[in-house]
Amino acid sequence: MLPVEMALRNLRVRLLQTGLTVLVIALGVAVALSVLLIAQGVKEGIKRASAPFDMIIGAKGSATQLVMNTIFLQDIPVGNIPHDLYLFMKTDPRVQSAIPIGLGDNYQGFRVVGTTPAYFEMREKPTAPPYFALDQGRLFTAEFEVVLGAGAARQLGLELGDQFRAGHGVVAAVEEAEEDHDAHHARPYEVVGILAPTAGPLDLGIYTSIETVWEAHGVLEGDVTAIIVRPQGLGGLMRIYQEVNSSREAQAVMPGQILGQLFSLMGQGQQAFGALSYVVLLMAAITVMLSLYGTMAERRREVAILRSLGARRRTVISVVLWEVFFMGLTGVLLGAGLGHLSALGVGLAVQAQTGVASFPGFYLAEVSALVTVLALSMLSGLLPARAVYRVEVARNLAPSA
Amino acid sequence: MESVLSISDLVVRFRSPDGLPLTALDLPELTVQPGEVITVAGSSGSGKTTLLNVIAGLVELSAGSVVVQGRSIGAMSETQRDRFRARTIGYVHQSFNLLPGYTALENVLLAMTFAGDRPRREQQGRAAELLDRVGMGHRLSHRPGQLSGGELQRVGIARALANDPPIILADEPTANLDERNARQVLELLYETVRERRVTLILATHDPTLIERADRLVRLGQVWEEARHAAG
Repeated sequence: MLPVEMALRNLRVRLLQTGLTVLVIALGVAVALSVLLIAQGVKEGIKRASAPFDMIIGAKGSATQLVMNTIFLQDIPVGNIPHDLYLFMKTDPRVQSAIPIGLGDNYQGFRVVGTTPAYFEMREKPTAPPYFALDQGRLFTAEFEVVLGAGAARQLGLELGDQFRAGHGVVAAVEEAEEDHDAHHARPYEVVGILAPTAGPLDLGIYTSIETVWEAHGVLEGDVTAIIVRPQGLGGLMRIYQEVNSSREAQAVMPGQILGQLFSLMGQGQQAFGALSYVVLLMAAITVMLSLYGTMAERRREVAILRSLGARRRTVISVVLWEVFFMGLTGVLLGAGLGHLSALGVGLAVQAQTGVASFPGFYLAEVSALVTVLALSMLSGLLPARAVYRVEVARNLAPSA
Repeated sequence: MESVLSISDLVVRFRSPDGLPLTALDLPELTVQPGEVITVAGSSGSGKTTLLNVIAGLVELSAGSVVVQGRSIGAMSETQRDRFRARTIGYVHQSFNLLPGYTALENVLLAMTFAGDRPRREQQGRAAELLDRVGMGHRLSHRPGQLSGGELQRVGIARALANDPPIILADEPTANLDERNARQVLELLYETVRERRVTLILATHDPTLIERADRLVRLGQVWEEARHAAG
């Protein structure tokens, strides 16, 4: 019988103790890992979602708010900017494309985004395929025609040809929800297209022409909420950025910068959780040690018996270390599974709420963290192993031992 | 004939819990021939168990020499002693000392594992055969917790025989058994050692065991050796 088999046998014999120790390790790993995975998944989801947006011009105010309501369709709009600024940007030779965004209405809480067909041509980089692709139907060509994001279509249960009436404001008012949104707009919207999923927040948008938004609010050529600008080059981007920000009527933001600040804030929270995770993992290591020490009285006798049969010290120590290894490995694997499951659960909740798909993958950092936990478990087994090494055989074989 | 065990001027000292030196065993001379059955008697604390543990290489000598089958125990490294113990000594304990998480068969198999003399495939068959020999063939897959005292000691005897050792040490093997079981276990032990021409060194208080031995070694303040009429 090999030390590995003996270790497995010992773990089976002390099943309750083994199970509890494995559970503590697994919970420690799951807590630590899910923090890492959720943060990483959300970061990647946000990065992916913001990739097609080089620069956003909007009303003066909170830059984060401007990014949040243009890219993530969250938060209330900062305000509007003059239509002339849009026209200026559209004709500026340094600008490759200027796409207007008009927010103002919603249907059951899903935002109606007024824009132009150029919006659907946005790309992460010039050589990449368009960020959006049509799954069904066509783009809007007339007023009050809408194209639905994949998430909005699914959650609202709307199909091509369906009609609905939107309400004022970017969020659903309680009375609107109760009155089934007949609201103030007499003219209904008609679904003419549904987009393929992008796994981003824009999946939750309802897209129509900017003229429709103006028409719904009774103006011929109204203001816009934001302009998405793709410059011809980096030099142009920086100049436009400075010019707009030195003006009194608008601000220009680069989403990458704003998200960098957001990530830095997230990082602080993550660090706090990370510290908590270390405490949990340390507790798991102490549990492994206590679990082994808890069985030390009966283990001393077993070691003495094995040694009296001719087992070497290194054999009995390797049995203990194998036990620790198996408990650590099972705990780590179980914890990794639990961590991924909980991160997936949070990811699904985040996606339902914001459209940002944050499903965690496997990261190199994760593997090294898991190996570290395993090493920590092994380390916590060294003291009990030392006690096993020092067992006095003759004394522990005696009937009274 | 070369003796299987030769002891001269053996002294074993321990430290008492309050740090004072304590002589646990003082035995000027003992020689045992192959196949002999020796009983070691003496009052509690006279060093019976210590003597068996010295022969098994489990206790360090403070002075003197112990030579088993031509090899001096004091001169062996720890690893050599481990191997020597696995191959040369079979040990039957008063409190059975079977591993609780292992079946009767596995307890016997473990002894073979450390000797490493037999291929793994053979070990299984031999362990089953030995258990059958001691009347435990029907209890191979039972754990110690499922066996009676007499049965536990039978498994203990099978385990002691696992590696065909030339010496079996038995420390009060019947002390924890009722009279009927004690008699049966003792018969089995004697029968087995005679059948295999194994040397048996038996520490006991039991006068009936003393009577059946070839020789008695009495430990105490004054040690003496008495040869029985049978010898």
